[in-house]
Order: sequence, then structure tokens, then C-alpha cells
Amino acid sequence: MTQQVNPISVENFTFTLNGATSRVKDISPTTTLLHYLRQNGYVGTKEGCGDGDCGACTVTIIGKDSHGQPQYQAVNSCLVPIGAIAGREVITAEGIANGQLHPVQAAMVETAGSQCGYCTPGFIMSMFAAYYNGSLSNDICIEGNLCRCTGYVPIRKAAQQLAATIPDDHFSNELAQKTSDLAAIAYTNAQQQFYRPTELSEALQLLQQYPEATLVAVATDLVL
Amino acid sequence: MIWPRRTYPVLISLEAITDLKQILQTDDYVEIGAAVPLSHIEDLLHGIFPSLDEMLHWFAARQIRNRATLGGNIGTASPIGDLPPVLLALDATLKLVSTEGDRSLPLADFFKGYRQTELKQGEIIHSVTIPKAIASGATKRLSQSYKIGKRGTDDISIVAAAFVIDLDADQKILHARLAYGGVAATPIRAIAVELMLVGQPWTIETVQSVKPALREVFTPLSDLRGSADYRKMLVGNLFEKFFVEHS
Repeated sequence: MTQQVNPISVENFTFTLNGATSRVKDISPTTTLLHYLRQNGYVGTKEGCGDGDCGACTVTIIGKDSHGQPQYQAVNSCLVPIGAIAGREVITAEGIANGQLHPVQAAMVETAGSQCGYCTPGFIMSMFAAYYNGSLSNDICIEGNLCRCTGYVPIRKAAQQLAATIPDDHFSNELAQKTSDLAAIAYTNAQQQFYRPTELSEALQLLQQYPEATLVAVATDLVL
Repeated sequence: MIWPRRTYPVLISLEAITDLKQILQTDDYVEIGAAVPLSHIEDLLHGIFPSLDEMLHWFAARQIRNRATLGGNIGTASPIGDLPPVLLALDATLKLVSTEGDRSLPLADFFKGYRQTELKQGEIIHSVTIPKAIASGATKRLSQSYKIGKRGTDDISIVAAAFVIDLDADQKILHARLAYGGVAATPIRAIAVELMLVGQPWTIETVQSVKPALREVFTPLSDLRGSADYRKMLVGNLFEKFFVEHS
């Protein structure tokens, strides 16, 4: 007999959005983070391709670097199912100015790196993550963001002029205290169940319990 | 009401399982957990497998490499997945786990058909092991990968290729792996041509002598990204490009 796992299913969960707690309920776990944000008024995050190609929907999450330390990471919110955000911290373009423009925003204004503005929040959030990772000097930090009007030269100039700056603000100072460890989650709405176990044995038992379950790592492909 | 794109009755995310997020390095092999993000692989394994470094550079963009995983790219079994050709050429093996126990399977035996794999119900891809050793008697390994798409970055490949050639001191080919994406229902090796190459000298004459066979070894489809003829031409020409860059 297969042992039943019966993880505690919850009908809501929280995540941190621009420093405030956001509670998710009554929606499908495969709703994208992008749609969740826009439906909740965070319309600074744009939908371009909805396909992970253009970067207009880029937001920053706190993840782990390759050595396990907390790190600001740019991700495409169109490819993140909301269930995967449980317990995470998300920062959008609305959340980075603190009384005055964030340095990456100020640099984009100064170099005239924004024209129609549609791609700008995505560029800003890629540059925001790179600003704290010390990777602004490398074009790879904005390789996943497309611009169709201003052109890349002023945007690149904005990134370059901040590349040597050592950040010293609440984002840099608080990062070390952030936890990027993920807790187990079993989120259920009327039609769907989303499990994120932390132990391999739990995952294997869930598969016994739900043989037709779909396995995903982070679902960048599946949510397309 | 917020509509999801697609719905699944039960989803199991492997993102938080520490067991699947380890990278183990020994003198003989590298074992990469199926849920390690690609950006960590870029950081931690840089310089060990040149063909892997190269393909990771072209694999989507930073935002996706921060999330996407090796296990996902293999498990989704797309015929144009970027990493399977690289891993096929490097003779990678998979560790699959289930409540029944573990088993090991060469990646070459994993892909069964279009989006179909050997993964049995109840199994999870645990890790990918890439051996470091070159062929017995070989003195040198040449390896590289190539991705041809409509644009340089952020695009799906038309054809992806990865090659490994091990040479002895006399420049004779002791071991050959030619693996491709975008030319068949699965990522696939040109085994017939690999066999033709073994024992031959690593010269332009050898490469040109197998190009007609390489053109005909697969029957790719025509689609909006490229015609079957164009893909067949790439299969041969990418190998010649590899020779030109590594001779």
C-alpha cells in the first residue's frame, strides 16, 4: 500500500510584494505572476510577448546565488505560475523608488533610455538586479530585454555609468537578512492542486498518490 | 477572474527539493541535480565542458536561466531543446528515482519519440552525470556546440549541434559524437556517421567525405523557421565549421 502523504492543503498563501504581504486565494495556481500583478493594480509590469522572449514583464525576486546566498534575480513574470511565488519576495518597478528615483531609474532618465516606455520597467528591473549583483558592466544583464524605439545605446550607457557604483541602500543592506529558503506548499483552489514539497521522498509519494500529476521544475515551459 | 493559460489538475513543483539542487564534482565526472538553475551551472562549472558553456550562453536570456533547469529541459523532451544535443555528445547519463529505487539510463536511450521519454510513472529525474574522461588512448578532446536561430539571442533554434572528437597523438579519431536538435522527433545522434569517422584521420578530407552521409542521415521537417533542405545542409556544414575551428 502506498503511504498517503496528505500534506496540509491550504486555500491561500502569501508572498511579499514590494515589502508588503500579498495574500493569494481563489485563483488558479497556474495564473502567471504577470497577470496577478496587473489584475491587482501593479500595471507597471508590462506584457509584451507573454512568452519569455521580450523581457517587458521582468520583475526581481529574491533567490539564491550559486553559493546559496540571497540574491536579487531578474525573472520573466509571464513564465512564473503564481503558486511558485508562495513565500517568496517580489519587487516590481513600483517598489524601488524611495522618495526619489532609484539610481537605475535616474540613470535611464539621464541618458534618455526610455522613449515609448513600454519596455522600460522590464529594463529597470533587470538593471536593478544587476546593480546589486555587480553585473551591470556585462551586457548579459539586459540581453533578455528588447527595445524597439529608443535603441540600446542610451540604455547600455545607463547601465555602464552605474557599473562601478557599490550599492549602499536599504536593498543592499537588507539582502543579507533575507531568507530565500522555500517552504513546502500545498495550495488548492476549486479545480487545481499545486504542491511544492521540500523532500524528494514527499515528491515521490505525491506521485504515487496522484499518478497523473504533472511534474515541473519551475514551469518556464509549461506555463506557455 | 484571472484566467490561467493552461490548467493542470495536479502540479508538483520540484523547485524546493534540496536533494535535486546539488552539484557534485569529482575527478571523473560532474553530477548536476535536475533542479539546479542554469545560471548556477554557468557559474559553478564554467571552463569544464566548453560545449556546455557555449550553449548556456545562447540558452534563452538571464531571466530564464535564473529559473530554468537541466531536468526541465530534458524532461520536456522538445526536439529542439538546446541542452540535450550537448549532453548527448558528452555521453551524459540520467539518474531516475522512484519509490521502487534508482536507475541509471544513458541520455541517448531516454528520448523515445516526439515529447515521449523513458520516464515511467512515478519516476523523477534526479540528476545528470557527465563523465570527464576522454577516450582511452586519446591525447586530446575537441568539443563545441552551435545554435542556429533566426536571431542570435532569445530565439528557438532551427538546428542545434554539439560535437565531441577524441584524437590520439597521430590525429586519428578514436571517439566521435555528433548530436543534433531540430532534425528529428527527438534530440538525436548521427550514430552511423560517428562510426564512419572512428579510425579516420582528423582532416578536411575526412570531414568532407562524411558530409553527404550527414546530409541524408536525418529527415527533418520544413517549418516557418527553416526548410528541411536548409536543416540538412546545416547538419553537414556545422560539422565542417567545427573542423575549421578545431584543426
